Amino acid sequence: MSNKTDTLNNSLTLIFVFIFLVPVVFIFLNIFSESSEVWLHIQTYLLQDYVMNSLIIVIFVAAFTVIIGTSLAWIVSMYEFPGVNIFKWLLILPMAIPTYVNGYIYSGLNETSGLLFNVMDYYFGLGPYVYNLYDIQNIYGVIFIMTISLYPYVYLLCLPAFANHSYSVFEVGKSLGLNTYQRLTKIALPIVRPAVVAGVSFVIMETLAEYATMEYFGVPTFATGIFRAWFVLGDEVSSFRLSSILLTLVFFLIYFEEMSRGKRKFDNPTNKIYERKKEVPKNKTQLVILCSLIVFFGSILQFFQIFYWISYSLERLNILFIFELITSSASIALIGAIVIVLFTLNIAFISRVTKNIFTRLSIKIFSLGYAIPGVVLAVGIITPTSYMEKAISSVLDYPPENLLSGTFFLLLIAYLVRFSTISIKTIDSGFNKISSSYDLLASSFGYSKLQALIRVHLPILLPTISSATILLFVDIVKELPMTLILRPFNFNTLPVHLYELAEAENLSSIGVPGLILIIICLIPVIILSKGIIKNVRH
Amino acid sequence: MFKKFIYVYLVLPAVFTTGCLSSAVAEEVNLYTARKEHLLRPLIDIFEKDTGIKVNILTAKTKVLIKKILDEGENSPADLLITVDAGNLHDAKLKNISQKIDSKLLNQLVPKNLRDMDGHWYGLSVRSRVIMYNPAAINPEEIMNYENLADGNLAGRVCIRSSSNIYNQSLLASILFHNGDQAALDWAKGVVKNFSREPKGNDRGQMTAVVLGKCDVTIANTYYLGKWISSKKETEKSYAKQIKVLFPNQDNRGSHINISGGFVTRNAKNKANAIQLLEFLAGDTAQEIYARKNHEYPIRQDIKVSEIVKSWGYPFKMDDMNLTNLGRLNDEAGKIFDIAGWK
Amino acid sequence: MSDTKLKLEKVNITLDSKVVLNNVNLEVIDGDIVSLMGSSASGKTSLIRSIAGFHNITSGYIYIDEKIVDDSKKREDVSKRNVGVIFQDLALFPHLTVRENICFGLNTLSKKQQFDRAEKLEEILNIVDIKHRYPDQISGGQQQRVAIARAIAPGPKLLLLDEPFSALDYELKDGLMNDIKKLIKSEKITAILITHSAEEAFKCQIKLRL
Repeated sequence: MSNKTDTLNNSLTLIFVFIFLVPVVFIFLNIFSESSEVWLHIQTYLLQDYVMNSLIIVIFVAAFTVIIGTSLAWIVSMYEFPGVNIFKWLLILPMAIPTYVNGYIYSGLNETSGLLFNVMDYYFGLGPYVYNLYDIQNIYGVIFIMTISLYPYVYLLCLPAFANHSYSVFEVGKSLGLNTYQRLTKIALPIVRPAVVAGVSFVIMETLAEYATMEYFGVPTFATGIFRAWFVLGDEVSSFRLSSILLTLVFFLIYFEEMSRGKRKFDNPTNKIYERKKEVPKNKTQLVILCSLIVFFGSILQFFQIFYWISYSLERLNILFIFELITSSASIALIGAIVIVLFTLNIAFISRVTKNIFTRLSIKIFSLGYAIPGVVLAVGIITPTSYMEKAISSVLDYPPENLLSGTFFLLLIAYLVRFSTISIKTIDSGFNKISSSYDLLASSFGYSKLQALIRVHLPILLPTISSATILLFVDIVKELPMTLILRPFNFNTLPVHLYELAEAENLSSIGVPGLILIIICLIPVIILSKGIIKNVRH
Repeated sequence: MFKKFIYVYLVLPAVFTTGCLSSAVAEEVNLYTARKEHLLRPLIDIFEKDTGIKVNILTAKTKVLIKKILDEGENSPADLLITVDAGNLHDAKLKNISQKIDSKLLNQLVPKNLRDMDGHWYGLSVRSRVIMYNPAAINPEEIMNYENLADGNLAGRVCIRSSSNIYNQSLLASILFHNGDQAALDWAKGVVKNFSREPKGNDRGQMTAVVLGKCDVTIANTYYLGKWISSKKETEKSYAKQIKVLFPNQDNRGSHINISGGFVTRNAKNKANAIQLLEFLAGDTAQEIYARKNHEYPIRQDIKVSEIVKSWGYPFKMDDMNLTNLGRLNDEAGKIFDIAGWK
Repeated sequence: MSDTKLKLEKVNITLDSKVVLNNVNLEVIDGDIVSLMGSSASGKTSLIRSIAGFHNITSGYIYIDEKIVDDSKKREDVSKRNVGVIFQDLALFPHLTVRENICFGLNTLSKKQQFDRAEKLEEILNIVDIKHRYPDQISGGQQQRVAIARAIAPGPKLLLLDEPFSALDYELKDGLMNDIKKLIKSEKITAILITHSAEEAFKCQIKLRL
């Protein structure tokens, strides 16, 4: 590799790193500005709420998702009971339902347009009773919604971890006289610990970043506080301060995850997985009931409510508008996914070819993006951009013009910073799995680095690339806070529309767009889970 | 394989990007609005047809839009902002993102008390925030004034939406204006004590709570009831019959009113078109559709209100305080809410 | 013709500031099959990689065909040295068939020429039947043969084998070694085989220990 290309690659990476770091650095720089009156107000009356609520929610959601996720994964991989293979799949479904949609649906259940309300009212005349019976729009409700929406991440990561270890590991335990409980705690849990830690830290990040559900449920947390400080109280400094507290928290969490994972590598899913016999448990019925309950509250109930709303609101439906929403959602998600995949491919490839510390470090930086909550990122992008625009127009002395603000470009940058994490991790590890012999071989046959990328790496990586694209597509298609704040004129997406409908308490109109969003998210979930479950089965 | 890859990952984004860039139109006006698009759409359609000016719309909450314009500075693409509440409009003026416009037509169409004294913002419709109650559970004598909602005998019987809502902020600002700091704080604290539940949902949610027995009395904007009465849903129609409107403070300062309105932004690139759109919205055609469709009050007495609106009592005594004060006192109102623990 | 094919003069190799090989001198005559033996981590692989041109030597000279290809300052590119390499992990392309793998290094030739060349090698190495399969559909021994065919296809004059047979059992290895020896003779190739097994080394003409 000549020095020239090295310099080129390094400077390219440097630019990307710069784009990444601008929002974060900008946010942290603002801590040092003078405390405003608004900040004092927040400190006195609101901060405690933000901290306490965020902590309580995070702790409980983390605990519940771990308990539910690991025990479900344990049950479906260790025991044989009726319908276990269908359950294995159905338990993943909540991944297709965005958190806020879950929030809207559960809030709507006992409202006047809700399924529960109307069924009880029609058959027993108990509508008002149901309405007054419970209220989900509080901190307990938030914990419930986040748990039911996010446990699949822990579950999904635990499945292969359990399955990758030959049954003999557990039989050894049995022969040593351990009972089921001991086998779970002494053998199974330590084995899946890396998977659980990865899953739960993802859950925590998602929980801290959640904006729409918290806002709709009226539970003040950091995400809503940042939004409120920025837009309602109109004080950037306070907003940046809250953001930096939240970011510090999240980065600490990531550090903790890395530490706890230590040198232990994740189980290689390409390992040979041994066929094994499952146990037939004594309490079959209980397991079936448990799984059914989770599936029911995790996804079936949602579909019932959605279809009920659809039956309610079909006549008011503006098909043209919905169609417009689908096209704009799908196209921005597709473009975003493709841009991000190309970007991460480039970074991962540069890092593979140059192999210097700087590029390795840059990959680390890019893989932090997901930790930045959407609201934080959006506010961290708007201000520097407008500074830059003003600077450019004054330096070049031309009338101020809207170069980036309110364009798709800015929105794409935001997606890029936040969602690169998803594809850089998969693509980089994909690259790492390709033996360096391939590179050497290609060069011994006279291929250039670029030719090698096209002829060798890309084809080998193709499955990885397509699954990264799918994952990105789903994440962008259901993204809300950044799209809400950064989108250009005449551009509405399905989540934005859902958010506005919910804001106007027009829940019954959520039916059609909500269902479409779920279906869009469902397709990749099915593809993804098929792969994992297939792996697990053999 | 590689061709397919090139196509999906390179050609497609390129086509999309050029598609976006080439969508510039000669005559247009960029509208930031906090009003729901389906409310504005019929009017915008007429305007576009009449004038050939394309209206680009970006919807979001008012505060978001104002902050956006601020951040975008001189580069802001927004020409016009249409939103609800004088508090918001005044806030925008203070933040220096609106500009004074000189339109004889507008000054003639919009009554003086419904527009900014310096010609920045103009009201486009009037709404009133009133008391609504369950006649089976409460005697209207108990709730003749907003102030009564803090009375001890209503403990556990009041529900009102969250304080993050500007309608509530403006209402508190008007109480602050008339009764002073301490009285306003005492009032907010008293109402919080009377809550039957933590604030949640919008005005319609509070009205539902009244009908279904969660609480007995609430504060809501009149047009929400109008929507129920004219609804196609049987439940909503029957709910509407179980709730009554009371215009408060008729014996003293009058009921609290507010406006929806708009202003031309400071750095508007399509100023003339923006003014033209404002004039259209204040004109007879738009006023009739607007007021009728949304059950709001038109800005001029000579425009007919809907039968439904009339049935609650029209005209009634409106609080004639200068609406600019709502904006002036908004911050303080927000802080009082926080101190009183009104979520 | 008994010219010197490869000559190493006072070669030093340092990897991550650790001296791997110190003052290596070696001369290989055209047509020889040389085996290099040594325990693991004795620097065999580093030597092979330096000869192939994958990484720099710290000092000394490497000659191929009596021409300096590396004087520790300037080195000639891998593709110009006319060497073939077979790696320990074989590095067969999983997305290409056996035939496509073999033709991978022949991209400058016409389709017809590629076809003829591949056909010939497949016959010698007994892999005609599997030419349309993918690497994961054939046995370990067959994979070795494909890797050899792929390395030899462009007609290198120097073949470097980095422990390619370590995973094979004795019988298979025996057959394979014989086929390779035949092939190397008929193609007039000089070969250097790295191994830690005395048996493999025994089958070569010249044995060296590191």
